[in-house]
Amino acid sequence: MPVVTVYYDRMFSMLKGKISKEQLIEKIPYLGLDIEEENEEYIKIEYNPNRPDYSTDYGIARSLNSFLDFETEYSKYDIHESEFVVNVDKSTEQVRQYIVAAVVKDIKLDDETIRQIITMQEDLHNGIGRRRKKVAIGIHNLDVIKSPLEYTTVDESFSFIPLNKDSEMNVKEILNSEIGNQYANILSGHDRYPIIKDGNNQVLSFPPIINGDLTRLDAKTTNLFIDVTGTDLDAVSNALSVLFTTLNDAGGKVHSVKINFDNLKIKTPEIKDDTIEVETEYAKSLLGLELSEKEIVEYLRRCRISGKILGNKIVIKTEPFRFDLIHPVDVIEEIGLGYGIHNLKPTLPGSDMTGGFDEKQRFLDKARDVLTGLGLIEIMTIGLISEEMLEKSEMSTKELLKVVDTKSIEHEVLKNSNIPAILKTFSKNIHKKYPQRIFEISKVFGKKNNEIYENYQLTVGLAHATVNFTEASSYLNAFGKQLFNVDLSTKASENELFVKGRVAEIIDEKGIKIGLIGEIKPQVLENFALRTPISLFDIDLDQLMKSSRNE
Amino acid sequence: MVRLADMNTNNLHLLERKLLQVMSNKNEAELEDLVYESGLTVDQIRRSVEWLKEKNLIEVKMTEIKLISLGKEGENTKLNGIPEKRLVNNLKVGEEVELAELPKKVDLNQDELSAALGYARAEKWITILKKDNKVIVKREDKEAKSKIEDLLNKISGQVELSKFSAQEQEILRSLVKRPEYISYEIVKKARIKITKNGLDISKNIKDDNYIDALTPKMLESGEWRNASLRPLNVESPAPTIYSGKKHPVRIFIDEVREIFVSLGFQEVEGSIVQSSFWNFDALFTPQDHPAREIQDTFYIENEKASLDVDEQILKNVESVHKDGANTGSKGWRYHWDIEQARRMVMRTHTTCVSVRNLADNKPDEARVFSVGRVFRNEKVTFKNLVEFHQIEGIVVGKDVTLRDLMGLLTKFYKKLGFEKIKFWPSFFPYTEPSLQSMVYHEGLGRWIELGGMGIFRPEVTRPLGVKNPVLAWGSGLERLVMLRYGIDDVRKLYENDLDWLRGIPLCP
Repeated sequence: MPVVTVYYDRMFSMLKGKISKEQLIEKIPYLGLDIEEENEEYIKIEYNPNRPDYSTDYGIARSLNSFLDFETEYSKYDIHESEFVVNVDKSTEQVRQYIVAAVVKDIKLDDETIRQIITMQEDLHNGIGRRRKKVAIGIHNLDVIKSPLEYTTVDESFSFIPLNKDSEMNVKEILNSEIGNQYANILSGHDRYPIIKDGNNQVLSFPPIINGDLTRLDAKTTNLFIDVTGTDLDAVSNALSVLFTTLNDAGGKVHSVKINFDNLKIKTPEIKDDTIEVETEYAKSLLGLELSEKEIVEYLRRCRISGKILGNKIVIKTEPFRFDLIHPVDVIEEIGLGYGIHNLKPTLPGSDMTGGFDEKQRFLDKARDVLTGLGLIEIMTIGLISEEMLEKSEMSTKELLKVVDTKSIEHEVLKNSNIPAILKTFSKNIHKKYPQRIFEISKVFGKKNNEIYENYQLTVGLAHATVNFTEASSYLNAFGKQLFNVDLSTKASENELFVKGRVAEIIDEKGIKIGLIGEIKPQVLENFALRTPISLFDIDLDQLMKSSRNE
Repeated sequence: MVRLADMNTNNLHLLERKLLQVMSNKNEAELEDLVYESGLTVDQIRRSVEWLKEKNLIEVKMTEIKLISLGKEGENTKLNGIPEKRLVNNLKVGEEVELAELPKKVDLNQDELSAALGYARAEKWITILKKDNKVIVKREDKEAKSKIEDLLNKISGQVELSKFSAQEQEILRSLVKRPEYISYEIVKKARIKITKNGLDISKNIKDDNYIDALTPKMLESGEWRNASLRPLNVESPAPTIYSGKKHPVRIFIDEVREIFVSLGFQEVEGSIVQSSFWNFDALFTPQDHPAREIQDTFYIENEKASLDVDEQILKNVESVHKDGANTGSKGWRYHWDIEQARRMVMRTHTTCVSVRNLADNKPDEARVFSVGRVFRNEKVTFKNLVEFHQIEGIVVGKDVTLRDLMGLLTKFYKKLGFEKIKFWPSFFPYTEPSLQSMVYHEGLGRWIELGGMGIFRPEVTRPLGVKNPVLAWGSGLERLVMLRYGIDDVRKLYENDLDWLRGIPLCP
């Protein structure tokens, strides 16, 4: 989850009332924020990705001011007109359709403010921007730009000086450079690339890759031009809302920009007059609180939401960055927050119900009872294994279910048998006291008739100097008898894993094959560096259960 | 210390008695030497020696023994002869060879040759002289006989140094100068000596008519009437045996299941491999949500679900993503793609099991729980596994509230031994309002974060045909197991170290 660094001195200067460090740390979690780290100078706060307005200290101060009743009236966001225009070429529709923009004037950019803005930009890129795929943001020095701007496309030979470089590079070179490489996949498959140019034909940005060097910000910059490009009009508008409101709170004066699409002319940023209606009964019943309409309006106000009572409903209006509110339940949570989650007293539901165990799990419980009663120790292993484990066990690697792009080579396929894990467990315990008798009950996976199946499999492993087929067979008989009073029989068979002539299929009373039993062949023991003989058997418990139920 | 006056041979363990009897004939012996005569194992002898020493019936003297064996060069010499002899055997008496020519004449490497020259000269088998600025080696007329060779031939395996004569020991000492000829090892050996008390007592041993063990034969024949069973040392430790046992994680899972059932919850289980539809889409997780990326989620290669789902539910989920349908929501406003919903995943939470249960039963009232494995595509570290267990409970009811959820959770954690619990707001894509819980751990003396919870969004429940609110909570399980057993590396839980598994008590 994203993290924002908040310096106490800046925070206290933004808050409109007095509060101690300790109180600050106590109150912050009530807003749904987590304190990650705290020290003398600053705290690091983790916020949830649905609230990108918390990506700077301005956003957190804004919420605290109202939550702590330091501020009860909220000023509206004023948007002034500017002469700036962006003309959008139709060719952008093929690659990166949408652009919105804003101008922010008279802002003071000290180092910390610049740092906060950059973090906000990054968090927006990674969050609603989906790593710049959906949204990319450029922030430019307005004073070097001439209107009208053009959002258009170019081919790969087009060149300009990218940010922090001293000479021109063409689009192809940029995409192959270190920075370009990170985001080149977003544009792959296209032969036209988006470019923002100004009235003097100078390049502001090559979204979503990099800005031009021309419009670079420094500590002297006071006027900003902001572009937000992307593939979704809602997403780019939302990102712009977070940006302009934050820069407004940082002291800037926000101005609008005219965007001329091929068949649509808009002015951004835009403050929408969206409302949400919440039935008061619904709010009260979900929270389990008896609240008057007036109280509800008051709790919403603490969360900077203005509510009007309309019969048995509350009609709410929010600030532009609250695009996380998409349903009345989102508003109801805000009522809860305003009330204070810590003030909610736990209750218990009125009705009583009778609980119970799942039938299959109950059966597995009993199987475990029998096995532990026979003196076996249960092991539990991870269900994703490596193909190498199966190869070492000389087991089939065909028809395996594989996961895509695993981060750990040890976990690449879904196990089709517990046996490799049993052998590995013995292998890890060669210095532990013998005899070792263990079992695992776990799901195994595979494909049958093109359908994925997952069955519970029992595998019993026996290891000591004199273990043999007969001992395994005794345990097998005991298992069948004690669990279901069934006779599990064995029928001579062949299998790569076992010693020839010492392996059999396990057959249930209906004549269905439900597993294998045998002595592990020496080559496999050697593959696992084992120096003790091993006998084992496995059983498809789902099949055994079916047979026992006469299915 | 036990006084002799109190000492009765009947108080001696069977093993002690055997050992004392053997010692009474030997006076002094080494531990290993007693194996044959006593018929006991080395372990048994050691144990009884400890006990007898305690009773002052024997003494144990530790002595150091020097053992020697041949090193790599020693073995080589034993096989091929000592280098200085190999050198002169290639030269006739009186023969003179230029030093530079020697390597061609003898089969020795440069190191062996220069050492051999030195030793041969010291034995006066050769002389080295200078002629016309050339260095010449001359074979003198003296028979080359090596005592070292003779000695080396006597050594095989480890031999005690004291077994050699004084002269031989002198030669062995001189071999220190030759690297890797002889290696030494010092071992400590226990010499056991019977004390006077021991000797006195041992005399009584033979005379008693105790029997050591009752046999079926004695019972049949009635022979037992004429014998008494010898008292044993009932205070001595016995060999270890182990019970069969469930895995500690399983034991904990069972405990959690029992708590759920006692709170009126019905257990359900579901597939581990799920379609993205149930794992994500049905939970109102937009198709471009980061949680759905392959960096975080295990997708199954080349597998697509047939999505054998109620047609109406499919339609409802599609439209709730698009525009909120009739749920009162704005929806996510994008093009929902059924192909994305078909991708098969290793479930990332058990919430998909709960949701499928809701879709199948559309209950007006229910309490359902599951404990099951979930998967995340992560690097394995002491904190993270690719696979772990999730606890999940849901409550459906006409009048259930957020406060009820807090109450149930308080009860749940109390039953797990956590008395203090607190809540604060949080965010999950499929619940609203959402909360996070923390419990106070007495042992650690601090608050720890446990599970998330909330009320399922109407965008989740309405498309499935569920009208009443659904409370839900979920928590990882391994964290709790680690706290229970005092483990700080989660990997240990699934390493299956048999010592650990055997050693864990059922009531820690």
